[in-house]
Amino acid sequence: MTIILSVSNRNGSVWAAGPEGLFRYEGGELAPVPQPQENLYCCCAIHDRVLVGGLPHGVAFSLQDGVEWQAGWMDNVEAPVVTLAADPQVEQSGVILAGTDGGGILRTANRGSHWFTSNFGLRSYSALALAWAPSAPASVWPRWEAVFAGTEEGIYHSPNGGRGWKRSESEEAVFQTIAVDRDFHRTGVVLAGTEGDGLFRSVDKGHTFTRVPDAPAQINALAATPEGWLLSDETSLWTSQDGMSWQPVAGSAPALVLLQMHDSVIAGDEKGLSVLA
Amino acid sequence: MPKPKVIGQPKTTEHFTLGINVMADLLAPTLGPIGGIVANQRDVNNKPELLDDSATAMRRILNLGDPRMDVGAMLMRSMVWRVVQRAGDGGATAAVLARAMYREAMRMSASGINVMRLSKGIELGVARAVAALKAQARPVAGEDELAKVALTVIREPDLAAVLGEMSYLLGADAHVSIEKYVAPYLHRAYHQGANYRAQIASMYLYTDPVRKTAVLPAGAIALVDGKLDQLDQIVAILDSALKTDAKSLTVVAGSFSDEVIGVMVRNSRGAANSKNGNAEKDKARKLTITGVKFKDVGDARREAYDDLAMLTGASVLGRAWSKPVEMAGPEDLGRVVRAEFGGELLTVAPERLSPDVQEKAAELRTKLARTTLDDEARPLLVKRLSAMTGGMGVLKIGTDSKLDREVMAQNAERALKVLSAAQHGGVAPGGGAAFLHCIPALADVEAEEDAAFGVEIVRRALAEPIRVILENAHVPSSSVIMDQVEQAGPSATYDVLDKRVVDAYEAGILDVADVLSTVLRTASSGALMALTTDTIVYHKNPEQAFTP
Repeated sequence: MTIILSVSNRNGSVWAAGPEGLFRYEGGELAPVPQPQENLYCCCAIHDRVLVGGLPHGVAFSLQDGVEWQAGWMDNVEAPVVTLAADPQVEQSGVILAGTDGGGILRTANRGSHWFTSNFGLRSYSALALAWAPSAPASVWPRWEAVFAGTEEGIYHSPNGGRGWKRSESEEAVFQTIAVDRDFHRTGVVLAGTEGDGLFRSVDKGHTFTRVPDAPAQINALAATPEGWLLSDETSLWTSQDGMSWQPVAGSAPALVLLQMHDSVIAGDEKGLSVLA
Repeated sequence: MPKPKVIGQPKTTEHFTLGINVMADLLAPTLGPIGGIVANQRDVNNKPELLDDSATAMRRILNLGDPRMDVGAMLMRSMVWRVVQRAGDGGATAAVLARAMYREAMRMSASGINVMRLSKGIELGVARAVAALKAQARPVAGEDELAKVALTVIREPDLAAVLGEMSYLLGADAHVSIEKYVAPYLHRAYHQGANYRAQIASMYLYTDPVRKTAVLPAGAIALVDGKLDQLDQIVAILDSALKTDAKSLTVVAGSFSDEVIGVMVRNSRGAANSKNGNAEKDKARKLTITGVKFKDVGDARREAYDDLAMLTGASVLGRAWSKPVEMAGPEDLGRVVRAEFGGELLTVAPERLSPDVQEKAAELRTKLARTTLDDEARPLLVKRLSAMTGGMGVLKIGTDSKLDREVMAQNAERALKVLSAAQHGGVAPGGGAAFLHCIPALADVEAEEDAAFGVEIVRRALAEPIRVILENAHVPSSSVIMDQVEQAGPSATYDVLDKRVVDAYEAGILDVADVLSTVLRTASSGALMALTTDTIVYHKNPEQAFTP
């Protein structure tokens, strides 16, 4: 039984993290990779390195796929890192965000070597979920770098790659998962799932979120897919074309994390990883 | 003493007309997105300075070399300056409006209409147009619209986007400090919490001496208004901090004696201790300590202590306050989530905002609402409000030339004023269309006899800004296009780049309603002053002033 809380994809190579450690997903099997944290919450694989975050605090990164690890400088923040999210343009910008439970959000511009607190505008310092919007087309002005953060009391959006945050208009709730529409710059749709208060949807690029009626109360995982949306509550998976009306997937198992990859979805749960068609 | 020369009508009107026309002719071509540039030849050794904003162009002119023109020109200069100081933008529009009103009024007065009644009518017309502008205003929708508004003030897309973003994140009463750099650079930073100009008490109190910063995690803060020069004083503060189980202690005081600094350094975790082979002792130390002094003096310092005490729940200790420092107890210390010192700035993030803080913020907002954008008290109020409500932004800009750097900084300041007005009063269709849409509202203004001609003057002048913008863009048949804009509805304007009538909000062609109101009021006041002046006194050597 390998609990998976976080999944990351780098050029088709899948990395997974959970309390048991870091794993590489190869040939349908989870291969353990040594890493320095006591207890992992999240991982993030980018073009040249793998990063992990967890207990007791801090982010570690490896340039050799886990052979050797280095600790990132954490700006005196001693709080567990629970989520990592890389800028879609991380190869050029070097920007990654880390959400912590109690220390707010940290931002690095050198791919994890130095992290600086980036809490401007946040009212809660427990950032449980982070999600970037796809890069804006080059023809658009102003070319915002939109990113979203779910916290213990509400959802926030940042127009500038996490340098500053603005609280989105939404009910107070524990937001623990966020998914951004693949065609975000045209539709402006963002979904945010809560711990027990249901699903919320924004159609104005994350400025206001309204409750989706008849959606499950507890949303553990969310993903935007080419066909629409996928979510998981505590009992099964649900699908939707528009994010408004949801249907349970018969016979499906619940997931703790969902990751869209090419033509399939990777689901992480309490028994490891599985690939959904 | 040379005798001044006094002239009366009709010479007065002739001279005013000359000066007003020269200045309006200078600024009119800068209106609109295809407006021209004013080239200012500073001296023979330097290349001309290229200006696209009315305030700077006007500021460069101290006289026109012909005393007959100067009186009208300086009236316009003063009017444009006032508009830009108050609203941040709209100087060229004000010049165009003032000229249009003055020209029409002179024409009517020449046909025998009473000037004083005409003035009354102009005032009535302006009041109705201002009400119509307010009625047109829509709340600004988000960072996109703010960036687009900034772009109408400064024609630099990158800077406009950053300013739009800063205004969006910092709110209507944004506290932005501008830092200038000597090479091309554009960046911004946000400091959360209350920010104060400060100085560290000793280099040994940095937690990171290489970066010259002191970063303290959640802990206690002590506020001492006065000298901290007795050992029993610092001992009382340290004892109190230990009793609160704090991990860090930030001490703010007027000054620190060497003995006090010594005690702070010896009792602080990290810092210089561990480097002297005292690693074991360092482990036993429970507090990370730093000490800072405020740089502000007088009222600003007193208010900083007041505000910080309210934000953190600390008591201000010291002679002039309720309790001497040596009597300090745990209840006198405040709580912070994080305190940071670096770059001469102390940033304190309070643990939670009490109802008192929210009440104080509301009080400061009310005070701010009563001030104009050029009020001297405004910067301190904005700073205090930012401390109470979230934090401040730092805009970092740089260019190779010092002059360009100054112009860029001034433009950024102007744009921030406009963005503040946009968030307070909303936006209206840009490109001169908002003035055009006010015209129907003037139809039912009750004005009798000659005053009705005054209302008519305003009605005609309101069409002038859009006409000039169309002319600058070489758009033919401007009157036909103005008709189309009027007929297309209250949110329509003409996009001179795409050459079509568009919805201003969808196209992002926006002006700020409060700026337009200020422009119209100030332009009419300038025109009325020229209109009601009958005599001019010319001095042999008039005094020159850089500011009106």
